[in-house]
Amino acid sequence: MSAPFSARTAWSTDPVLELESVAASYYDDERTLAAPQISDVNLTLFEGEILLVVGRTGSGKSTLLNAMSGAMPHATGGRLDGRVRVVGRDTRDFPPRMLSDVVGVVGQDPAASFITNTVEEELAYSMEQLGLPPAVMRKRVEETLDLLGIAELRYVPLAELSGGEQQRVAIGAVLTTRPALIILDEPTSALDPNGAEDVLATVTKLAHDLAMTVVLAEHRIERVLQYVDRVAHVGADGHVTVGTPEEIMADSDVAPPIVELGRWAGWAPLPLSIRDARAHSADMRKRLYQRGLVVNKLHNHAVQPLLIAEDIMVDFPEIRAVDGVNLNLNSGEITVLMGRNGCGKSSLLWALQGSGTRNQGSVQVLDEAAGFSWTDPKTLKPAKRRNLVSMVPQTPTDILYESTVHAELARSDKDAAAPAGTTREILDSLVPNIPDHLHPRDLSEGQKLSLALSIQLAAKPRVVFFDEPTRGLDYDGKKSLARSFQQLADDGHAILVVTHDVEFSALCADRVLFMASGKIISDGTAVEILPASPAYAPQVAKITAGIQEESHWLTVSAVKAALGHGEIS
Amino acid sequence: MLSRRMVHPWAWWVWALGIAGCASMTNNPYILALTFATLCFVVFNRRGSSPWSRAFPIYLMIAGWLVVYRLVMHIVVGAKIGTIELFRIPPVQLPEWAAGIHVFGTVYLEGLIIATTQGLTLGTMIVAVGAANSLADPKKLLKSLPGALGELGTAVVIGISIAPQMAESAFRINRARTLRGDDAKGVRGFARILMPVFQDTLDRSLALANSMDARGYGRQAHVSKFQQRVTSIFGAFGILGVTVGLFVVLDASSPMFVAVPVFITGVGFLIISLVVASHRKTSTTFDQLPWGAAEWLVCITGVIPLLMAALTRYLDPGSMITTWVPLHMPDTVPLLVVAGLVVATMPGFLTPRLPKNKVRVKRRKAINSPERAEV
Repeated sequence: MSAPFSARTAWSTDPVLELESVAASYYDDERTLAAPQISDVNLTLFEGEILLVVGRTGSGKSTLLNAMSGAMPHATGGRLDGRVRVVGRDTRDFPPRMLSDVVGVVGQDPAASFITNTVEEELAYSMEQLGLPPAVMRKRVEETLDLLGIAELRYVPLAELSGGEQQRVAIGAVLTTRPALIILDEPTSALDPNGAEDVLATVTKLAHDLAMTVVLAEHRIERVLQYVDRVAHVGADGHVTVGTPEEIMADSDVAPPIVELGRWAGWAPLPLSIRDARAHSADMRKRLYQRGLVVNKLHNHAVQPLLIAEDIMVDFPEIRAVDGVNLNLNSGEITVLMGRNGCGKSSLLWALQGSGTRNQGSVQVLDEAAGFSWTDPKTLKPAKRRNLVSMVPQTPTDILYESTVHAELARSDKDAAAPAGTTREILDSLVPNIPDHLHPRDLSEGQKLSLALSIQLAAKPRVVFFDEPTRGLDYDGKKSLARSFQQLADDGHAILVVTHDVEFSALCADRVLFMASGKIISDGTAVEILPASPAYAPQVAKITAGIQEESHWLTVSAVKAALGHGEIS
Repeated sequence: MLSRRMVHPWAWWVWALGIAGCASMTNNPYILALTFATLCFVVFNRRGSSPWSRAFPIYLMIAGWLVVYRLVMHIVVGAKIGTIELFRIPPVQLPEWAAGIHVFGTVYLEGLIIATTQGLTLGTMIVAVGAANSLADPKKLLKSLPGALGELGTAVVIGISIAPQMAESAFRINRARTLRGDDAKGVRGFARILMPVFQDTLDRSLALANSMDARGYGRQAHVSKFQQRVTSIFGAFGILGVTVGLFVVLDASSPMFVAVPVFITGVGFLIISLVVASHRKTSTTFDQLPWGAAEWLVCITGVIPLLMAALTRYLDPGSMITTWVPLHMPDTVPLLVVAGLVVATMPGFLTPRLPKNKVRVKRRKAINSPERAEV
């Protein structure tokens, strides 16, 4: 291959990535430039470093990553000031395709970036474009398959992979060219805790064993904080600060529970891993256990079931997705359903709601409007069904059809036969001041979710389902969502949430269900269930657990309450 | 030769086009039926499980609709000929300037049968194209194209990958629609989900295009503007020539001494443009598909029916083209063509099968077996 640039020498200690006073902005329309998404970025990354990019939702993390890979401005448009150099190549002169031998980019949704049909072809694709000889390709494909532990998936069609496998194949596909820099944009956002662990272990291996430089954007910081060398914090105004994890976390506007707890307890240096935090927290544990302050959120008063499901089965060709599930959902209770990717959680939600397939079993929902009689939602028309059981799907935009928020809200009022302004009122109680004229797709993830939720609530259902509601939400977003859930539960709703996010379920769950291969394998209060599973235990529970004793405190606020007031109601 | 592997996609296209050419030269329903059976036999024996392989029934449907459409058009505006009167719809009187177009009127059996066989001929050709599409992996096909078609390639890859994804998001959004209490069916329901599906598809296309860019698609050596011009001009003329050429070759009524030169000139232009442009190509192929005995077999067995049909049309035109007036069933069946079509079924059992996807099968069984056996 004829390369118009000199290759990096093996003994080179030059930086892999240099950003010099970089600012990036998009055009509002053809002429006017919007306020910069990111500004004043000065950053130098060397071989083998891992950089974590954090920031609130919509703060410009993706823009920063795009600027590093050359996608901004070559693919996204907009204006990039300053200088970005990857292995000495200025992205001004080198579009992404001319950087593909030194930069690997892995996106949020690996399935959207797959170009070929099978795992093997996908791994070879980048090398083919570089014009490597087939013998070299064959060898590298083999090495990559082994490195990522996906050798048995070699001939599998990409569409049949599970989420975690897809993400690992996507990483493998950029590894084969031996890039100096790998950029990952929220690689674990769609994965269950175990799948996420696998992917993150792979990422650290790349930096530590193969001397690749890794840039990683992540919302669930708690998963990666302990592995990274430096953190770039993108502020709300687009200002980017770079520093060690301890420095940045001391006053970052996004902080995982461990950092929040550390800040509150005044631990210094700020602990980043469970091990560090436990070293600091012996005294805290002593006070907690001596007082025996058990938090039990599940209320003891008589429960009023709103939905009773018996022996639900859902069959798909070649697979039984849901296998004999019995389930009650009670008024005023937030139930969280967890489990591996593909264990049948979503199928169960759809079956319970009545819009999805249900091959066997019965669902009965209490219908207050019809004199407290029990009805099977499947027998109702969709318009009537959503008055009883409603659901916010995984992609909230799937139920948004209009071109402005205003039109969407007006349509919702009409659909629900509610007086004009009802949905707006609900929306304002969740997230105030979403402008009327915006396109629903231009809203932030949290705003989209709130809009979809308020539309569903306008129909006044007593039972509400959520499928993965925390995608793309930062810690504050999750907290306010948990507050909204609590508010709904206090109003007597029964809520069922499917999520992978253990910290979120610790925040909001009254009751936790675990599902595996189509069956519910455990069902109990959050404090009973969550701390017991190593993968699903929230950070605070891990910090406050004894070696042989399970923790009773799942969240920072639970610890604060236990130690602060001495008593939990 | 029979160990599992993928047969070269171009071989399948040659095979299918040969059979399509054979079908185009006849209106003998026996031959057409046999052609159709041959195509189906091979497709069902050798297609994979990819989305485009599963699309074969869609082509069958299109072919079916085509026959129906041809019939309806015959009843509405066709030239009604024949003696056996079937039914009569009062003809519409058209103004002077539209004389010669007969709207409705008496429909005769002969005319109807002619229309049907014409529809069947076209339908069979469409099924042949469908067969090629189901048997040949379009992405591999694209890969074996010269690098010159690079820019075109991006669009085609996105088109191919997005179609199944579009179906998937249409399904997902349509299901989500019921959550808003909207169960409008048919066109109205479809219109509702159109915007979200398009937006979704657009997002995904952009993501895929960005991904291809980031993975180095379209890297090329530097070329002068002049060279680029030469490539595109010859390429454009080439494609035009090949298309027109194929059309005249397949349209059996135009004389061969016109059709063949046009076709060959087109191919020539195309080759020139490809050779010039291939100098720019810097990519290599990981899994170079071999061209072996199986490919030759597929090609030859596809071309034989075409040759036989051409030969029979010269020797015994009556058995290929039946005049339906007066009404009779064709009494001669051209044995050469039948033999050719029988030969054309050979790829259905003599070519290597596609590689098995063992891992996934095992996994599914694993998911299905353990506790479920007890239930």
